[in-house]
Amino acid sequence: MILIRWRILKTLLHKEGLRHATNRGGLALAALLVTASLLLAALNPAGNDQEKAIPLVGGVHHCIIWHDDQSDWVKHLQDTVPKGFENNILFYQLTEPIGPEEKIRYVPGTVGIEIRTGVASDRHQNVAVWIRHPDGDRAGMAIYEQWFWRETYRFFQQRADESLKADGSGAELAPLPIGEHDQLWAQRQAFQNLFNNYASQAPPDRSLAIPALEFREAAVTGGNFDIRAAIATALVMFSLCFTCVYLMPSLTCEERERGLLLAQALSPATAFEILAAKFLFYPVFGMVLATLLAGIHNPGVLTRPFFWLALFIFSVGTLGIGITIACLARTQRAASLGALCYMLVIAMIMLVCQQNNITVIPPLALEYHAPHLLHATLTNQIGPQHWLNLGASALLATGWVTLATVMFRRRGWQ
Amino acid sequence: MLDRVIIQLDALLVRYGDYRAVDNLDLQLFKGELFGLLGPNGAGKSTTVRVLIGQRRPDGGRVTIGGFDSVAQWQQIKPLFGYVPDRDNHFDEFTGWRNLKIFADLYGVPKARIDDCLDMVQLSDAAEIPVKGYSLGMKKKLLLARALLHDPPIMYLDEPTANLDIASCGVVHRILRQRVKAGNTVLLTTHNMKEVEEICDRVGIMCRGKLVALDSPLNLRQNHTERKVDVIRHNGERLAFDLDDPAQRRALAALTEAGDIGNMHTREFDFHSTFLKLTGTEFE
Repeated sequence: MILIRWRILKTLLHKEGLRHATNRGGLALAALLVTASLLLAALNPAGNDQEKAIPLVGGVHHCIIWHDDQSDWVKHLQDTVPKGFENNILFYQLTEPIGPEEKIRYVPGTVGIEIRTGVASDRHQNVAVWIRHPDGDRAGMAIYEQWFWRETYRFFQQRADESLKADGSGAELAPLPIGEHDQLWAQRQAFQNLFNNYASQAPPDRSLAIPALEFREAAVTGGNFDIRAAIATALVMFSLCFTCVYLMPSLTCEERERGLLLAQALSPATAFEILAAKFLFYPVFGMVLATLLAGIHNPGVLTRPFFWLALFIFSVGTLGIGITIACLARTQRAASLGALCYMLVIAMIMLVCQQNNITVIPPLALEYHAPHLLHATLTNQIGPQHWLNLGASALLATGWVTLATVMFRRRGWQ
Repeated sequence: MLDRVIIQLDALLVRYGDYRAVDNLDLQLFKGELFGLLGPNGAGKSTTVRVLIGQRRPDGGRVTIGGFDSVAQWQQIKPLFGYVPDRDNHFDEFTGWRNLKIFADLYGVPKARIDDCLDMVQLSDAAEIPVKGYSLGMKKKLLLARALLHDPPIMYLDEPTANLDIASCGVVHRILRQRVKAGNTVLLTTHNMKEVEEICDRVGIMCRGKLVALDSPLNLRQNHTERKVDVIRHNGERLAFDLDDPAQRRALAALTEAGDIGNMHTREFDFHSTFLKLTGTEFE
């Protein structure tokens, strides 16, 4: 039976506290983080106008074509994606009907073109085309729109031509005027002209082969970070990673390297008690720091159970990562470098996956879900998908703790 | 006699791969004795101590300490011993007193004992100095103070007097002898032959995982002193006479009668030579 004696635990926790009080590097960094958070709150770079949030990372790296029907038009678009854009233009079919005014949430760096089939009239189908561009950066969509409108016009022009030929009319419809690819008013006018020309030449008793397109545009929803919340999210994440992934393995390996763990192991303290003290100290230290940073940004967050749940799960997960590193590393130097390498590798994997449209790998990392959770909590925009993030984080944290336990049993700290 | 046994090693076997670091070692340590364990590099001393402090599981045989099995009843054994490693392992950033306080709290020992132990090793004046400011000798003495905190019946010491000046060596020897006198057991590994002769009640010499000699220093002296006489004649010639050989005894007598001896002396017991003879290796 595993027992923890309070007297022993208290002594070991006190020892950890004293070590940090004497070696003030960790405390200095914590103070710097708090100072940064206070400055962020005081200087308030985004102002109070949350509507004019600034993208954390500039540029558009993905354009999503949302469609509710796998029509020939969509198939044509899929077949004519320009070379080099195969990984940047994505086609998603909506699995459930979405209302005409309902908004799709975008992740930062993505824009979209939403093709929503509307109610059919007597002769033709109505389709709404929503252009979702980056807020304050209408031109950011230009390269995608240019392709979209060109191919859309070409597809419907061809279809209209075929329809007219089938009806015995020899009329041909004009191609898209050059130089009007990225101007919405010109595109609307060009397609309107195409539709009107075709409708006027088609037999009045026949249904039209091309739909009437209704163009709309608006800034993306959810695609921008509130820069203050984004920085606060980064600070909170860093505080937990720093304490559990960097500081804990580094100082633990230092104790092992200097024989201090052996000295403690030979005392009445059991290995379980020594570990328990470390497990308690570092995540708690990290959580206190994270809470302080989050509270400075938005005190209201402290009343949200979701925040505490996310913080707890992320703390446990980072602790599992830290212990695994501590078990693998033999020396303090190896532990420090291992922790830094881990964080860099994860960041690189995330970046590579994002740039190459690899969607399977990022959700396997705790560091993918944590920013989503923290940012949503700090901005009070918790949606159903964040509960999925939370569940995935809990699974990943459990996985890391299990791995850490197995590693510890195999390699130990002795 | 059996009730005096506090550490019992029965056919202890420790392997590192195919290499037998400790090879079926049988050894008994008694209450109230100071035992010196010697041996060259790789003899198995450190591995034996590692087994005794629970840092290595035996691959064979059985070790009982204070009547408890070293594997199955380790938690009961832990409070029974104090360990002084060869390399200091203090919290360098804390003072000497704070270092002892941490371990005193772990052992549940009152604060007054910390001062007693510091006083015992003559570190009271340095109690409030951070350990990083200590000399190597002071750190060694602080290790001894830490091992003494809970007044254990068994102490394992690895090179306890390395880096100590003569006066400090004397302090350590005195403490160890006092503990033995009080009925405690001390096991030390050392390379200091003089120390072994002076303070140990029994000596075990290990080589290649086996015990090649086990006796008191006095008996080792008697059994291994060479009964030889070295002679330097007036013409500078050096001769050695074995007193156990009657012919050589007579030759020495003849030389003495002839007055042809410039210098003559009997050989003293040399622990170092005895060690080399027993182990057949260079001393560690």
